Amino acid sequence: MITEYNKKTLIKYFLNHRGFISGFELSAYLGVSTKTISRTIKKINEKSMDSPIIESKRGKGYRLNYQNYMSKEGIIENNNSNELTSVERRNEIVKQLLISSPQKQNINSVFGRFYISESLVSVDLRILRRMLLRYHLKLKRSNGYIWIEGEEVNIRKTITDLLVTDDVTSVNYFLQTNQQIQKQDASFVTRQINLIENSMKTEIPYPYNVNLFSHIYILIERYHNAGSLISDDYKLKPSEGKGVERDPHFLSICKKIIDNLNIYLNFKLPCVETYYLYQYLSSSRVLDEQVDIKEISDKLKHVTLFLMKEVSRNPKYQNLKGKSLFINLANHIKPMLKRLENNIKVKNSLLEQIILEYPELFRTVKRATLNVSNEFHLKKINDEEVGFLTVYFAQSLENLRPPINILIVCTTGFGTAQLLKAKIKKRFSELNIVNLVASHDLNDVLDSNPEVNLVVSTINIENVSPVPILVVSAMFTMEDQRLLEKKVDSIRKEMMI
Amino acid sequence: MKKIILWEPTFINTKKKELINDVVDYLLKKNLIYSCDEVAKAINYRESLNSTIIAHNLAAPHAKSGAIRQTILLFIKLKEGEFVTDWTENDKSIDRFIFTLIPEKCSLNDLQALKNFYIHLSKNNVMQLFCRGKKDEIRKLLWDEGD
Repeated sequence: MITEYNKKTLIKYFLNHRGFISGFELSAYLGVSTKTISRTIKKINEKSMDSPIIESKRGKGYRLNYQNYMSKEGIIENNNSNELTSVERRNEIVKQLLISSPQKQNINSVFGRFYISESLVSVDLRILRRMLLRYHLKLKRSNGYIWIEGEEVNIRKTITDLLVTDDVTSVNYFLQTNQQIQKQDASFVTRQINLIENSMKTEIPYPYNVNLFSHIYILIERYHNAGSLISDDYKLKPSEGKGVERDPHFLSICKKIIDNLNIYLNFKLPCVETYYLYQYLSSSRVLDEQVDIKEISDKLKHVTLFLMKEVSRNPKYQNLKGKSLFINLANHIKPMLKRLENNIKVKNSLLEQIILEYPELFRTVKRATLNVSNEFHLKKINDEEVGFLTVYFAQSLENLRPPINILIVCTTGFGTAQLLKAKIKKRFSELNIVNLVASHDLNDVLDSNPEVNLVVSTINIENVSPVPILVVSAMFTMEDQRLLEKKVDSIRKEMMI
Repeated sequence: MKKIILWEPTFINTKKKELINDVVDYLLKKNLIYSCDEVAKAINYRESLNSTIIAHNLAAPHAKSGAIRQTILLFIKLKEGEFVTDWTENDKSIDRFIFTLIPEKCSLNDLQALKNFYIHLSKNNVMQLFCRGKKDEIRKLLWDEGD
């Protein structure tokens, strides 16, 4: 969610850091998703359309345009956007209707608290109707009442999409006080996830923990609000039970959780709930579960190798291969195949940032997944999954990039050099600092370290070697950082040739 | 390693060279260096190579010399309203200094302690405290946190 706090904190962070900052770094600092970062930046820039306050560059991230910021400072400080937007209002309404579906709600009590005109109510209903159709649900209106009709599976899918926004990167998000969810239920669900993790003796990582949380939480809310109204056809279909016996341990864990839910809800849940929970659990990737290369199924092996082959058809990525990439991908693809089979989606809060950082790689992987789906008759692999797959390829790509080695020099090799080292390490994490040296030892150190690409010095020294020297001040000012960034770019370009 | 704070000392001169002379005189009196001339020469030599200013009002002069008896970390804050106006051509309001003086043979322990100190100093909040902090805060930074 875009808050005034986020905006101010973001600006403050930019004011204390120079150059480009990746969305990942900003997202980690603010504790929100990269999508929220990009939305917040968009909001900040809205106040200065012709001269953006925060600039963005593909592959690099964001940076503050100090001049534009100074000229618009007052406007940003006085801005107040705490009002509920129309999108937020409609989300509130549809959540209320979904949770209680198929119960009818008085239209005045649903819209009354928003104090909006009749015509706006009609607009909202039209938009909601269109949105719900995408989930195969119907918004009904009759005699001053509104309600939603549709299959239970579709109702829950819609609630999941509304509940698990891109901001959610951990289960803890739901436990924050500003989240509009039932705290007692949320803490019960958290206990169940802990129980699952203890029984499996492992940890369920993001995004699977969030998926599992939302599934159980929504199940509780549905039975709390409309338990007795949930249709009788919400039963296990003959085709659905298949495969459950594949993992008796998973099944016994699911049964235990459903037993706990029966007690918690004081209601006997239908058997289909055990099956759906099993689907979620078996479609999750757990931390310690690594694919054993010898016991890997033929299908998983072929899908993974085919994907790698398809991606490497792009000449830029022809060197992306190897066992570790194969294992990383297979570890992701194994539960992904189950998710495709079971129609389970995972949220990828980093998607926007991944596309921003690796636009071409993302496009290449996306194209490759289309071919994978055709070749193996799989359902379409969505962008969220493509994003995860791209990260594994990107990781492999980064490993191929040689590091830039630097030496830091001052008169003693201590003093300002040590301070500079700490600052460079913090702001240029991609640089490998080989050593700190005293100026009179520089030539000897360069002779014994031929891998050094650049010397960064706090003092003026005579350049007697072919290795370039960049002189910066001990303050390591913004200008110094810009010069270093430029130098590193040019060295990297030379290395690529 | 010897850590010293000189809080608003009664140095008569606030010109760069004279301040360095006052500092080495003080260190000689405390028996921490062998020769004023040698140490002042080493500090001035480093100053001649490039500025040692690390924040708007803070400089970190440093030197390594055989005339230094032991590793010294010396913090100075001038009296209120007093500044060294010729530290560099552009920086005319330096009133705080961190002198780091290292003997020719410095123990590994001291080198490690200095390294930790400078890593600590690279944090924005720590740097701000050195620029604006009160005596107790500087003492805490030098003795407790930097180690």
